[in-house]
Amino acid sequence: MTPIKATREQLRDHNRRLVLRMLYQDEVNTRAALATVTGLTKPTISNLVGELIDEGLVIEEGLGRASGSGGKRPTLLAFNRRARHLIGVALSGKRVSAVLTDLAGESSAVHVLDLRGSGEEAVVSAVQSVVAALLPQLDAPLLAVGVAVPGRVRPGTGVVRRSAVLNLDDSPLAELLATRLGVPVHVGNLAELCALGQHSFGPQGSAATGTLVTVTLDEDLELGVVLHPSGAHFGSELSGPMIDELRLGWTAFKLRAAELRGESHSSLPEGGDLRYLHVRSAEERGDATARQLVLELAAGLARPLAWIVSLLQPTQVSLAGGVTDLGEAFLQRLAAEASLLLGPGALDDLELTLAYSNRLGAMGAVALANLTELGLVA
Amino acid sequence: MKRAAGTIAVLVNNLEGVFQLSVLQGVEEVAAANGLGLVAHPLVGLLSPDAVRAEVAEVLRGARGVMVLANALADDHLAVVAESGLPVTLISHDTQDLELPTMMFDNHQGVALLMQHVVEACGRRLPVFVGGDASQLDARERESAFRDEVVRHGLTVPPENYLRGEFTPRLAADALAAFLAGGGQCDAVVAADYLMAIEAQAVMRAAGLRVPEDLAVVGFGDGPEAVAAGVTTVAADVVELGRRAARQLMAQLSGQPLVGSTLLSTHLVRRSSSC
Repeated sequence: MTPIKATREQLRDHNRRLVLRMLYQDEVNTRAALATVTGLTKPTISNLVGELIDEGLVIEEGLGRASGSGGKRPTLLAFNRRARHLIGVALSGKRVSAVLTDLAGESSAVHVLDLRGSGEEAVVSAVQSVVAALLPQLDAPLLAVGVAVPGRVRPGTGVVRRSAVLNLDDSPLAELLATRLGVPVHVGNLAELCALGQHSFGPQGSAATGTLVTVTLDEDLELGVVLHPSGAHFGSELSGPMIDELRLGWTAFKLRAAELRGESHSSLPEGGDLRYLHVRSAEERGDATARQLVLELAAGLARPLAWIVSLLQPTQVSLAGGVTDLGEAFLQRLAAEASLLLGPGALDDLELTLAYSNRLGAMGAVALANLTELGLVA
Repeated sequence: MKRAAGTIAVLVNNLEGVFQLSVLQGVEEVAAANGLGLVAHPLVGLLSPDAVRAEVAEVLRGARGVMVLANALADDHLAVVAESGLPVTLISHDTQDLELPTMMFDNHQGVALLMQHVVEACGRRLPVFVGGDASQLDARERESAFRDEVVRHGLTVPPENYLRGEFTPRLAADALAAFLAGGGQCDAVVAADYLMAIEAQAVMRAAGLRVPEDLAVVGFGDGPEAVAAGVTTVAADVVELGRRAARQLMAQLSGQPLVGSTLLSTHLVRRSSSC
């Protein structure tokens, strides 16, 4: 009997998610219309809607117009985006940032904290701290927490296979955090969640109709993908000697800047004060060192980009992370370098964009939590 | 009516400013709902560290928790408050050495929204920036964010286009009038607060310039004065800032230790002073 019961529950859960998604996407707003578009019977729809109203996820909003043949005016339904809150957390080697949003991804507050130390306990405590700091700001129950981790995450398990920057190895992060926080926790790779965040909450470009790849470049190079039309998403860091040779991460960039500064005069700030924005601004003023740095970075990044374009044939590749501060000119240079590797016309159908938001990872973590808990994606 | 079961001490730099009064209103609402009273202490005219120490000790006596608004206390005096062992929340202020939780607006996000609007939507390329009181974190962050956005949008803004308004509308008006009299060029005004933006709009119109045709005017924060003057802002509700900070302090009072900065999100409110 057990398998049959499970199947019924799964079916019911599937139908419930379907109904909620229809209302979330604002495609229909009456019980009758829900029955028509889902193919479910009216009693089934009534039961599911009643359950969703009881939970506060759906509200009744007055009466609509009667159908052409007259009769009773239907009760209008609406998704209640404020019924629950979500928290999305993004980790880097230095900081933890968390965003508090409603179910439609509208953020009301962000909490940021310096990450002291590394390893499992430091990471778990830091996530616990940022979530604790946002709890007093809840206006509705907390549904779940999503966490974006740089490194490799075993798909669907919440286990961080390896994160060099956070010093994690085979860490069951989702389980540890769920125990401490007392709410469901979902963990994904940072770039994967950047892509998911962009897909769910970003400006709707061609990603709505094709495969989106998000390339994040901060300390390490990471790759996240959302496939069309399934919405399947995955991502991981790219690492190893092959990538090291390209000298793409921020540390390598700073080292190269110091080397070049030793060779010729430059207006770039030294060491710890250097930012990508300085490089961009110096290059615009004709600084030869800045120009050389940007050219080398574009040539290095063009290699993984060429593989991505050839293999995944995405409609949109979006560059995210600190490197976006190099701006559109860098993007054009990157495209030119990739074209040299792939041959003329190879990038003609590709939309190459910059994802400026420094909240993308945390918003992606919100999207993961929303998708896993309620099946909702914009 | 509930009887107040203790008080929250709020240390402020003055008791007349619109910002300070609005924050206090928000704090008081939440405190009252939790059966707590509020006592606001303006710390002005105290020059020696000993005098501040004595005043702070007096203020802290009997308080259940403490809030410090903006730059009401220098870092070394904040240490005295931290040492008291009472729960402390800072509002629109931050400190590197003391691990005190902070509640403030997301200045970088807000200024980025204003600049995106001015540059991308309105097509302006030569803004003048009217800065706030540099002793306050909000002012420093908003200017730093403005400078970053200038580079991000590929603009060239000459040094003379950075004015000091000190979060005081009259000073902002004087600085802008001097800027115009000196032949300064601009096609937009970005002010570090909305009250200075309202004044900027008046100065520009008095000088015969048309807003928004010749010049877009925008400012950080929002209030009924900005609605009345039709000035585009990023809405950052200061009463809500007070409420949110008080909610944070209530969590601390219940025994939850908190650290780090909470930044409240802002959103663009387009009005007639821009496109």
